[in-house]
Amino acid sequence: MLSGALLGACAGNQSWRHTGPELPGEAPPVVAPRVERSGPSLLQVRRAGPTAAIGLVLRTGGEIDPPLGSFTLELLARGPDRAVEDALGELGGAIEVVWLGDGALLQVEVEASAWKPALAILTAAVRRPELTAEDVEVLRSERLAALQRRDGDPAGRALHLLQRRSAPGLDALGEARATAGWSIEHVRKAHEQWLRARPALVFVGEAPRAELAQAAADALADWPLSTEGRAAAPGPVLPRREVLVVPRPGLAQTAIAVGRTVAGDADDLALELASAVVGSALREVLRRERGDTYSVSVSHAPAGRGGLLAIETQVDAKATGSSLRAMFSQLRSVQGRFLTGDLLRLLGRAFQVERMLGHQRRSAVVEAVARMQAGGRPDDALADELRRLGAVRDDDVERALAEWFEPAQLQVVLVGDPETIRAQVEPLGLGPLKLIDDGVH
Amino acid sequence: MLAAVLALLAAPIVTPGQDAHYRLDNGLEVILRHDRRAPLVAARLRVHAGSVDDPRGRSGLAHVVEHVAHEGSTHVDRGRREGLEYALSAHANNAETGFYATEYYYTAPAQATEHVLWIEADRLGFVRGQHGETTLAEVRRIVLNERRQRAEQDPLARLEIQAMTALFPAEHPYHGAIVGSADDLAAARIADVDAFLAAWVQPGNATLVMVGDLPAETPAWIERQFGGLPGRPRPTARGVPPVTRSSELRLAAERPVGAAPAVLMAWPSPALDAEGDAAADVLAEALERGGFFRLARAEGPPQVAEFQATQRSLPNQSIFFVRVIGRVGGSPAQLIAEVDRVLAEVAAGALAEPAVRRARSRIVREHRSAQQDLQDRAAILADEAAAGKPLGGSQDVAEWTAVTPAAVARFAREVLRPEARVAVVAEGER
Repeated sequence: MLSGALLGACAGNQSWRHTGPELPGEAPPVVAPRVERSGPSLLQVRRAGPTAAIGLVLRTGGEIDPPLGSFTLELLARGPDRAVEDALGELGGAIEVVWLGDGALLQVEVEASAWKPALAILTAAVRRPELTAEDVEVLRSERLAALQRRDGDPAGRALHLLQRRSAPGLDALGEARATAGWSIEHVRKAHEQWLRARPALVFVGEAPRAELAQAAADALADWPLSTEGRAAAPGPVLPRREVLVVPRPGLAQTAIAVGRTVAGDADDLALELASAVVGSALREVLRRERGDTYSVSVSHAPAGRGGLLAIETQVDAKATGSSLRAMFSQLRSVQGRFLTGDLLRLLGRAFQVERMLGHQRRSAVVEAVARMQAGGRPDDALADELRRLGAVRDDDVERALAEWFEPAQLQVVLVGDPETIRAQVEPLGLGPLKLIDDGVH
Repeated sequence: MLAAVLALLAAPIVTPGQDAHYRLDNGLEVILRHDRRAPLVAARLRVHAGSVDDPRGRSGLAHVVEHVAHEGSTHVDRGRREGLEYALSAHANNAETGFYATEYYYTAPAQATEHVLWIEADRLGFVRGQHGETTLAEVRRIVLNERRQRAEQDPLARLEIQAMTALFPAEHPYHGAIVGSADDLAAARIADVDAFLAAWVQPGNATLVMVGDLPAETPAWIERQFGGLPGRPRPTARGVPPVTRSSELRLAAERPVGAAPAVLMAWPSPALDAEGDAAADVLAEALERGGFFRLARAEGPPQVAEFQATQRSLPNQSIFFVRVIGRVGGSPAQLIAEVDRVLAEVAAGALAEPAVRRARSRIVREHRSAQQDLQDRAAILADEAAAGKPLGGSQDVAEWTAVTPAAVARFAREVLRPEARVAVVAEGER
């Protein structure tokens, strides 16, 4: 009663609501997944809990066609008449194929007690598949439907076209014409390519170390270790000087994708922070000040053989030209030394926290470790990068902005009403407009 | 300092470091769950008001209110909040509006807990009267862009809005889209926003869920930040009348979706946790993971190239969706005939125990996996509390685990009847 009365009196004078709590004096602690290696092919992150996530990381050589390669892996992941999918389903698992650019990941999360049979099923699915023409046909029709879904969405179509132009190694879905032409023989050849180099196994969960090492050794036994060096990185795909336009007559918004190839040896951490700076600046102008859009995203997908930097937004069709002009003006104005000292440290901390958030789920940790492995980075890369994110220097960010966000080097892709686009974009002088008529209107 | 000591005295009997589920004197429901795997905290403030509470002629108002609340409150204007988020590394935050609730959430370093509580308390208690028509005009512009981007640009997204608009009559709270109609958004005034805030946004109509590496002071901070806000009993929920159909309604899509035909079907289905809700989840999972194609191919190569099914579980009335995309050269009528044939077989018991068992196992495991993410866990806890279930997932798991092939067949027989649905059909582009 007394405390209630006192609290009520206190609540009447709530000046503390104006001041707010004191800011913490120290940076938040950061924790990265601890990756333990057992032998050449097993990477484990120990996490107690009711489930375990298992990933098989396959390396991509330069000879693999990404859409056919990922199609083949999806077939393997299902098995004959979905037998693999069913077997993992009995263990609570839903197998997934993730295209990594430098490799591919087959992963499944199952009840913790079922890790051993799941691991055996997963590896056997890749090593000893039963490929049938019927399964190829079923998956082909599904993939064609998925392509239709992707291309029906203006934003999806714009990003895909940018990806095809600038980072074809990341394009796991491809295009309908090629998909329609694959035979069982194409699939068999792609499968042989996947078998050439021993994959890595990633395990996130609790399992007795020796038992897990033995299970991994059994599963990967006789799988040849790769004798080939990592495929040489192809030269950068240079941006074209034309503006690509996919016509969608009558659309109320124009989807805009702007981006470029990013070399495999780019400073990814500085680029990550630079992308955040650009995203924030573009959102402020395009969403807040001009009211042209709901969202703007800036993403960077790294890959040794050519990653992709992409800015994506959908703007009011009437503001297509002015939005592009504002976007390029912002890209020019973010160049320069303006993000220094405490601000940069805070941005680095924010990204450290973001990575920690991204490592909460076991399946996300499997994917992070798989990307590290496929990219040829050392086993302590996750911890090392998390640490270094807090120490990126202003000149690193400045260099990343100058190197990767130079407007003249960016490919522009637009999906929307062609007449509106022509009238508004031609005067901007971004280059000649090239219509990509893909028959979807 | 004095205020902190007094707040500690006034806090409900919650042992620091222990999980708790309690109410403040003003009616705010509080759920605390400790999880020390990472030095992070998820905060989720659920206000039990959503688009079903939009006044007539003001569709989209609940969602507009969410955006206005994002623009700042008496003590924490938007600029200040964004500066704090930067200083605290608390960028992982967002808000969303559903049919029945609006939620604001952060996942932040544990050391930002008190600030997050301060921001959310201000959002709960001090938004009304803070904004004028200028703010509303800016918000309206953003929301209209959101509507175009999410609901109009993608032809497959448009199918769903068409279906919801046709399945539920104009005065029904599910009619149309949560984001509202362009006309209603244009008609909204700041007085409507303030009236909505006054009616619904108060501690007695809210739940705060905190999950993660919670500092020991968390209960005291909650009392301090939220305890002084005036609360009223939870308002009576708006009635959501059940809808049934006795004849099928087929509509042509507003726009084609590509070279291949597509069909979206929507059925009114059993409410969240009602008899048949869990069976609907299991059926959707089983059909998506090969069940549909195994049944469809009995009469030759299936016409359907891609099959998707979802039970959108909601209080009062749920909706079961089936979306199929066909092959180039096929017709929507062929797709519908194939779906009907498969559903008739399911109704007759064709989905056997192995397929149902696998679906159950996957759903239960995914439910367990979702608990790994602090914010996802907070969302599940908020859902459970709203539904009056025991916290921790046991009831949902028990309900899914109990689904039998017979229950799945019964759901298909009683709910997924052709005459009970709306179908939106899109011819393939020639």
